[in-house]
Formats: sequence, structure tokens, C-alpha cells
Amino acid sequence: MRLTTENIFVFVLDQMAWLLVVLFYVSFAILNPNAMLNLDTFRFLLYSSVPIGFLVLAESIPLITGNFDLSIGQITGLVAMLSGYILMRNLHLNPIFAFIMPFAFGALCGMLNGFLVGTVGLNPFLATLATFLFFDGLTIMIHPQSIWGLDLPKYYTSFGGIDYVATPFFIATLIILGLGFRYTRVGIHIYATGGDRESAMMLGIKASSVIFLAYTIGGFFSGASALIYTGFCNGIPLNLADGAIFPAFAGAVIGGVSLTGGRGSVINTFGGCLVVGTLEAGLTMFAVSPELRKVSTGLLVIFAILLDRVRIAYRDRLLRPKST
Amino acid sequence: MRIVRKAVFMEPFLTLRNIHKWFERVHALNGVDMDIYRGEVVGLVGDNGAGKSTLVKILSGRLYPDKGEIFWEGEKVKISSVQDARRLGIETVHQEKGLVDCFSVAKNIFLGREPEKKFGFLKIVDYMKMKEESQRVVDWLNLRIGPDQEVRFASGGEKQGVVVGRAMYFKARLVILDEPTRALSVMGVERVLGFTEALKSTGISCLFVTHSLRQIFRVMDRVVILDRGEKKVDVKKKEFRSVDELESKILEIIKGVQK
Repeated sequence: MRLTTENIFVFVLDQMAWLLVVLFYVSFAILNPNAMLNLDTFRFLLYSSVPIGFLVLAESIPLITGNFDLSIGQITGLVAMLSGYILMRNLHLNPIFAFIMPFAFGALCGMLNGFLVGTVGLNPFLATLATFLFFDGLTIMIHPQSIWGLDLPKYYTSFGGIDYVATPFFIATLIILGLGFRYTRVGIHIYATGGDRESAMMLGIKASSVIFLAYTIGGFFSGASALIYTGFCNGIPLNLADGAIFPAFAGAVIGGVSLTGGRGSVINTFGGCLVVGTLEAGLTMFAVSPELRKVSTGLLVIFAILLDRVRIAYRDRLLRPKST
Repeated sequence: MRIVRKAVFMEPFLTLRNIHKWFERVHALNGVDMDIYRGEVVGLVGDNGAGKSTLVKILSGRLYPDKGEIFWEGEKVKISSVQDARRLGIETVHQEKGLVDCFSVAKNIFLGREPEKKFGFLKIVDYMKMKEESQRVVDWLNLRIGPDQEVRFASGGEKQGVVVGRAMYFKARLVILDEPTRALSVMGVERVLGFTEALKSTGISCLFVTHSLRQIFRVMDRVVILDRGEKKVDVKKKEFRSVDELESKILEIIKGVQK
């Protein structure tokens, strides 16, 4: 692509989520330089966004195919509880197997959603609402109490519990996923299915399999989130990721994923997630009450969606061919 | 591009024999026979509900006939999916479908058949090749949009140009233009007719579905008229001097049939 001012403008517009992160961070840093201009704060901000960051990915991938998943938080809860319960009962399990468990269980839960939405063709709202309840109930059936970190193997909780393990793991995932979505045929087909399902099918893309795969990858990342949450909380509370769907949705939308599908970069969704994280962290630092923090997060989402609209309109104007 | 025009059409490469299709009680196609020869433009004309789109869907693999046979190069074939049709070399150009609006022209041309290159032990999509090859297609058809531009910015006629370009690039044998001129301006219609001629000049056959005989008279070689699921007319253009003469002949045939 030629390097014209327009192309640079479009590039900058596409990174809106990151610009917002910088904007918020700098604003808070001006208000409270001691707390914000501190490497530990920055590190903690990144680290605390990792479990939610995986959920943002879990939500974004079905979103890109033009569907969505209400059950991601419940998958995380179920996977964390199931893996934790198995480990608690068998402390001497092979560590490799222990680490595979959350990913595999997550992918299996994603497959159930993918089967219902992609293969059977159920409405994603209804299908994932049903699995939401299903996974939620199953979690309590497996183990009706929280599991303490001390009851789990040390290696298992340190994976998500140590920030310089969890954060690089997430960033590496993000980069691989970003490249994979751009440079593999499957990645292109995921976007095509969301962009125009019928046309994609006419061109020989099996939309049902693509959607199945998208949910499976989504479930896989919900599983990853479960592993990180377990370490982050140093234990498995019963309501581990309840309500995590909302910040996950907010992150995806602020990151520029279109709710109708076909658009959005997976890397930018983490930017969206950080915007929410930075705002929360900044407000916490100024001892703003939790109620007010919720209100401001809500306002932020509305603001970001409006800003995104302006961004898309402006971007379209830049991209529209001049001659015709 | 060198112009290869076969003056004499040989054996038909596609033959439909006694095609039937029912939808519940409606007999949408009633024993339709049709031949398509290399490099010819066949106009498929009929009213709404005449069975045009049913026939097109059967040829493009989106519907399966209840009865009847399809021969490709003399061999009996089953077209049971869009992929089957594409493997044979049948591409469909449809106004609303076939392009992903938020994708670039290059991505649209190669969608579902993206070229790959080796990257270490991995296979990755070859964006360079996609761009270069689409540039050639765009130049060739004189499209006003570039390979990097998103398709949603293109006009209706240009969009069909992209699909036609795709068919040409992948060396289709038969391009079905499914009502391509509906809701197009005079300029747009002219563009589409131009694309049809370009296809014909490379030896690709066209099945041009339309309501209007007059619109395609200039480019067509033969016209097939369907009426309530039956083929009523199948005549060559050469036999007529003008569109008026053809029209009066058609009216005559249809009235004769109705008697």
C-alpha cells in the first residue's frame, strides 16, 4: 500500500481504541503523576486486563462471524471449576495434562455452542442463553463451593498468578491470532462469513463449519481465561466470571468489532479492553465509589460507540474512490 | 487479449434433458431441454415465475432437479452443490450476492480460492499475488475501482464486473448472469453488456437471464424463452434481421403453442 496522507489517516483511525487508552492514561497521569507514572501500575493494569482480555477474544471471534455468545463467562466458570475439581481430587496429575484441561474443556463447551448455532442453525441469542443456564447449573452441580488456591497444585495457580507469565502469554496469543486471522484462508473465511454469509456460501465457504470453528476457538479462549482467573484470584470462586460478558462485549465494541459481523481486528479488541481497564483503574485510584465507576463505564461504552460511528463515517469518506 | 471467436459452434458442452422440478404442487420446470455451445451468449427470457431462476439455481448447484439429466462434455453429471458447479466451470453473477461488501476487490476475486505461499513450514495467503492478479483483471475489464478498494464503494455495474472478472480469471466455461441489468441505469446496462462481450471474446459462454429481450438483442446469439415452466422458444438470432422480427416470431410461436 502506498504511503499517502490518506492511508496514514485511515491507519490512525483504525487504532482508535489504542488512542483512547493513551488519552485516558495520560489524563490520569496528569491528575496523579505519582500513581500512574509508575511501572508497577502499568504492569498491573496490563495483568489485570489479561483474564478479561481472553474473554474479549472469546466474544470477538463469534462476533466477527456475525453471531455472538452470551455464555462465555459461564464457560469460564464451568471450566475453572471442572479443572480445579479434578486437580483438587488428583493432586499428582501430570502437569501437562493439567494445563491442557482448561483449554480442552473450553473448546468442548465452545463446540456445543458452535454445534447449536452453526450446524443446527439456532438463533445465537437463544442458543447461547440456553447454554448459559446449562453451564451455570453444571458448575454448581460439579462443586457447590469455591475452591481455595491452597487446594490446587502450585504450578497450576502460578500460571495465571504471576504477571510476567500471564501477560506475555496473552500478548503472544494476541499476535499469533492477529496474524492467523489475516494470513490464513480460515481467517479470511471467518470475516467473509460475517461480512456476507450468503455470498460466502455461494463461493464455496461452508459457513456452518466456519461458525462452528469460531465458537470452538472462542470456547478455547474462555478456557484460557479460566486458567488465568484461577491464578489471578488464587482460587476458584463460585461466581468466578459472572457478568464478565459485559466488559467483554464493551471491549470488543470499543475495539471496533462490528456487531453485524465481518469487521474488527482481534488485536484492537485488547485496546478496547484496556480502555475499560484504564478507566476503572484511574477511577479506583481516585477512590471513586463502585456505583459511580459502573455509571462511568456505561457512559464510556456509549461514548465509544458514538465515536466509532463518527470514525467509520470519516474513514468511509477517505476510502471512497474520488473518480466515480 | 487476443480475440478468439469460433465461427462454427461444435458439439454443445452442456446439455440439459427433460429437467423437472416441483415445489410442493407447483410444477416449476416441466421437461426443459437446453444445449449450450462454446462461446455463445444465450438469452434466457421469461416472466416472473416462468422458471428462469429455478433453472439457474439448478445449473449453479443451489437446487437439485427432481427429474432429468445434465450432460457436461457428453458425460452425465450431478451438480449437487455450488462447489460442484464451480468445479465444472459454471460461475453465477448475481446482483445482490457473490461479493462480500466489506472486502477489497482483490479479496473478493479470490475468496474461497485464495492463493497460498510457503512461509517456513506454514502456508500463508499470498496477498501480493492476489493484488497483482486482480490488478490485471481490473485493467482488462476497464473497471474504475482498484484492487485495494472495498467493493461496497462500487456501483451495481462495477460490482458485476468484479464477479465477471473472477469468472474470467478462474477460466469459467459458462457464466450465468442472473438478471444482471435489473435496477441498473442505462450506463450500467451498457457496462454489463460490455462484460458479456468480453467473456464471449475469450470463448466463455454466457447464459444471460433477463426480462427484456430488447436489452440483450445486441449481444446474444440465441434466445430461450420459458413460460410457466416450459421451454416455448429456442431460436438463433442469425435467423432474424431485427429485434422486431424476432419478437413477432416469438409471439407467433407462443400463440401457436397455446392453441
